[in-house]
Formats: sequence, structure tokens, C-alpha cells
Amino acid sequence: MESKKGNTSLRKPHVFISGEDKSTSELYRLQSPETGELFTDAVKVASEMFEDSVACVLLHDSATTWCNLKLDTRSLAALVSLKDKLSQSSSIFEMNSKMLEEVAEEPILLQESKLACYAVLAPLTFPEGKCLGSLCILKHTSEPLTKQQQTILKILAKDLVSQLELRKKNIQLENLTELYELIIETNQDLIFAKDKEYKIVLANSAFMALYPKDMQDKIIGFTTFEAYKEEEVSQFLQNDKIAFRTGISDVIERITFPKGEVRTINTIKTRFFDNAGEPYILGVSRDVTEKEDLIAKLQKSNDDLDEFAYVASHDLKSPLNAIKRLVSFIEEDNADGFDDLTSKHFDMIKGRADRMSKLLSDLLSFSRIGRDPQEFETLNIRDVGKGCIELLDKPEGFNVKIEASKVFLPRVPFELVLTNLMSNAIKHHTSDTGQIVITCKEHNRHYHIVVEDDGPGIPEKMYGRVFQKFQTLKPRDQVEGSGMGLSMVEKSVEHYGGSITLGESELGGAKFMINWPKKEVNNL
Amino acid sequence: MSPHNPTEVTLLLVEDDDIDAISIQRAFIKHRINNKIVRACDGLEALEKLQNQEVVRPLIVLLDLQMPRMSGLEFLRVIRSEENLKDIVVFVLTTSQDEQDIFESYKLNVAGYLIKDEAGQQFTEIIEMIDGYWKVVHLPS
Repeated sequence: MESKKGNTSLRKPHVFISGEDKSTSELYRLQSPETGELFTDAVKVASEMFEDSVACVLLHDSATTWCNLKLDTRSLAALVSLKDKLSQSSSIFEMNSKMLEEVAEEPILLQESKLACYAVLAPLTFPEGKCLGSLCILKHTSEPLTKQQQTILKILAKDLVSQLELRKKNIQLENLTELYELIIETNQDLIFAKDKEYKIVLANSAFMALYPKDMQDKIIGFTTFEAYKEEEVSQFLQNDKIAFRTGISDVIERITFPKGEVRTINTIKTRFFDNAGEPYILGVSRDVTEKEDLIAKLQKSNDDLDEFAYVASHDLKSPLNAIKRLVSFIEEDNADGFDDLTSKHFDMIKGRADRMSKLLSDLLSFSRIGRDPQEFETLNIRDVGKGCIELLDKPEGFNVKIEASKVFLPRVPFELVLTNLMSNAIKHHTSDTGQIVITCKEHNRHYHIVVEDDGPGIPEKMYGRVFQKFQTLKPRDQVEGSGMGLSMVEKSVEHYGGSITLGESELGGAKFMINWPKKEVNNL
Repeated sequence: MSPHNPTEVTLLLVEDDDIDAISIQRAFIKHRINNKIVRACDGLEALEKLQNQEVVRPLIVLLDLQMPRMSGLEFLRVIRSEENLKDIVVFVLTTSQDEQDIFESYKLNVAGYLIKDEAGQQFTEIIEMIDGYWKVVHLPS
């Protein structure tokens, strides 16, 4: 069968079960009865071709000898000792009685107690040069073979070799076929082939199992269209036609199978031709129901999240803004002022409203992390860090030291990470003076970014807690914050396959260590 | 110079949120703008007020987009298809920053698309812009 495909050529599978490392005996199954029969036939033919002679097959790797005559044990042993004589010879090798005497340890006794006086050995040499043994003729007269007889002997030997070669190829093919059948049969995908009349000509067990038991003998040789709904059949036919015309069709469809099951199936149909040039299509169908259902669910939950994000940003914020505005109206309308306590309470209302507004914005940002694809670019950490500081309320006395090194990372999440970590360091610092040190080391597969400070640090038992959503280490009335900062940092870093850990800085404060994989690593 | 006295121009405020409406009214007072404000809570009410002559020219409309019953864009489509209303000057004032909303609004010939400041800055710049606008612009009568 020859495979042809639209515009790309199919890759042939690589199979290594032919056994390059096997012995000659195993490779050609020299010990099998079938091979024995082959040798027996060969010596029979040879002995009939040459009158008054004994024919035998001698093998290098084997003590077994095939002979048209039953020789006595000692003669047989003498015969076997001849075979080594041939290993270097590529053409036929003749021995007269003198040579025979030299080589053979014992005289070789032929029929009617006649001694072998002349021997000729034709090597059984394979095209690649390997010599298996020889086809040997022994005569009790010393008259050598004629040129014609020599040719016949050579042809007989050659024929024997090609038959063995063919056997080897058959064995390999058998192995391969068995393997392919095993692959097809044990495949959980549905595998089938159709001819140009859309009749099924091949089907694996998975495919057969789709049909009820009483239908299974009516699959091969049939279209089985009657087992499906009309619109599904027209869908099948349409894709079959596309595959026949263009060489390939690839479709995801929802199918009601003959047993009534409804599944989502991805089917790839590939055209191929047989030796006669007749086109067929090979279909491989994979059940993607769970996958597609998951995708649909994920899509839905993403949509819900979007909707939630919108509700959070708009519908929850507008009443909050209204409250803030109403409070400012009341303050404006009472320009003479309230008593201290009322003023304080009004300030608290505004403060809480601002906090809730921040919570909602941060929640919204958190939910959106990783939703929009971000461009990677070459960034100078010092420049990015300085940009972030400008947006922070940094006291004069705070010293931020940033190493000037370059990274290739997405700007927006990187800024988010730096801003949040620096903002935390400043916010939680006990004094108005302090320092933050940011360093970055480039490794093979990632950047190691460290942000540390000389603040109060974080108690070790709080390490896990600080990354949780809405967690703050101090009451929000003491240190204003949504508790979302480190959650956002962690989510951003993890979105890019990285990690963030917490430790103690030599400066005395907290030390955040980030491993941020390089772009190539994520693309692997 | 103007065919009308700027203070005669009425502002038709189409806004479903009471506090936003109050904010506009307060801002007018704060800026000592004496123009009449007529409020409608949605597009349908605004349309009725126009058709029943409850609000008369010269006028400009300050229009929210997200409203019950008839949205701002629906209201715009209706007045642009009515011979006697199609020339009305409309400013959109909304929280929506959606590109599609902006595009659609200008296609319906709004004079400007204004976005409500989230932080609740009390429409100061918008009010000043409107006050300046009707002082210098000739409106259709």
C-alpha cells in the first residue's frame, strides 16, 4: 500500500523489531521445520542433478547437516570439518582426494562403502556478504564437475540463498504486521478505513464496540449508515468527500452512536491508495467529549468571571461612590462644621468607602491577572523600579537601591510585582527612613529576583499566610491595605510559571525571592 | 451676538441615578449657573418630555447610557430619526469606557462623550465646559 496525502507527505513509522542483533540462526529460523524442509528439498534436487553423488547442506552456525543419504557418524563428523574451509571463499571450492584427506579428519564413506574422492562446495552467501554455509556435492570418482555442472550448482546455491532471504523478509513482515495489528487493536481511538463507495474495509475493536453485538458482522463491507441519524450521515459523507478530494479532513462533531451514546468526536480522515491505485480513506476518531465539555465549562466560568468583574467594577462601585458623594454634600452643607466626634465619624465613613473601593479594584485586578496576553520586552530593572517608585508615596528618607540589569519579561506584571513589594516594604516599615535593595541574577532558565528591606520583617509562621487573599498582618485601621497585594504578586509570578518565596534579609527585614522563568522555558 | 440669552438654555438631564442628578444640580448651584434643569430618569421619559413640550428649546441634553426602559443609545437612535428632534445637541455622560459605546455615540452625532470620574470629582470640569459651551455656541432654535 502506498500512502499519499494532500500536500504533506506522511511520516513512515520507525520500527526496530527486525532484530539486527539476532544470530543468523534466529534471523533465518534455521532450526525451524520449514527451513529444514527447504534444505532437504535443495539436497534432493542437487543429488538428482549430479549422478552418483551425495549432496548436503553444511551450516557454519549449526552442527545439523542435511544430506540426501544417511551417512555414518564418523563420516558425518568428517564432513562437518569441511565447512570451515569455505568461510573465505566467495566462489565454488573444489577438493580432490588429496585435499580431502588433508582437511577431513576421517575418510568420508559414501554409499556402498565407496570413499569420497572429490568434493565441491558452493557457498551460501547473502548479498550483504555474510556466508551462511555451503551446498556441497561429494563424489566417489575423482572426475571434476564440468563447467555446466558448476553453473548449475552455483544457481542452486543462489536459489537457496534467495529463498532464505525471502523467508527472513516474510518473518520480519509478519512481526511488523502483528505489531501493527496490535497497535490498531489496542488503540482506544476508533480506527477504520473506507473504500470509495464509503464501505468500511477495516475497523478496530474500539470501532466495532460502538455497534450492538448483533450488528457486528454487518460492519466490514457495509457503510453502516443506517445506524446513524440522517444529518450525521450527511456530515460523514461530506467529510469523506473532502478527504477523498483533498487528501485529508479534520472535524470535531457530536455523534449519536448506534448504541445511543452521544459523544464529541475528533475525526481525522486521510486518503491513501492501494497498489491498483484505488483510493481509500483511513479514519482515526478520538473521543474528546470530556475535553470539549471542560473547555465549554472553562469558557463559561471565564465569562462568568468577566461578568463578575464588570459587576464588581461598576455596580458595586457606583453606590459606594454615591455614599462618598452624599457625605461630601453633607459636609458642604454644614460649612460651620460638626463637633469633633461627628467630623471624625465622617472621616471614618470616607476612609471605609475608600478602602472598599480599593478592595474592589484590587479584586478586579486580581481576577484579571493573566487574562490578557502580555508582550515580553527587554527591561532595565533599575528603570522599571524607578518608574514604580514614582507612583508610590515614598518618604524622603527611604533609600531604594536597584541593580542595573536587563531582563526579558512582560512589563505590566513585572511592574505590578515590584510596585507591590516596594509598597509593602515602605508601608510596613517602622520608620520614615529605611532601605530597599533589589537585585537580579540571570540563570540559564530563569531570573532570580530578590527584593529585601530593613523593616520589621515577617514572622516565619506567617510566611504562608501573607500570600493569601485579603490577609493583612496588621489591622487595616493601622496599616491601610486591601490584603490583595501579595496575592496579586504570587498570582502574576505563577502565571508565568515562576515562584515566590519568603525569607529573612541580612538587612534585618523581609526578603522576597522570585524565580521568574525565561520566555523560552515556557514555550518549550 | 447670541440669538438667545445663555441663561435661557435648558439642560435636559437624562440620568437614572438620583445622586448623580443631585451632584449635577449642586454643581450648577455651586458655579452659580442659573439655567433650568429638567430631569428625566430614562430615555423614554426624556422622549416624552420632549414630545409633550415639557422641555423647550433652546436646550441641550446631558445623556447617561445605562438606563432602565430605554438606554441612552436607544434614545439617540429615536431622536435622530425624528425630523423635529434630530438636530438636538446631546452630550453623553457615562461611566462606560467601552470603545463600542464611544464609537456608536459619535455615529449618532453626539457633541461630546464625557466619562464620569470614578473618584467622584463633582463634575466640576464638565459643568464648566457646558457653561462655556452654551455661552459661545449658537444652538438650533
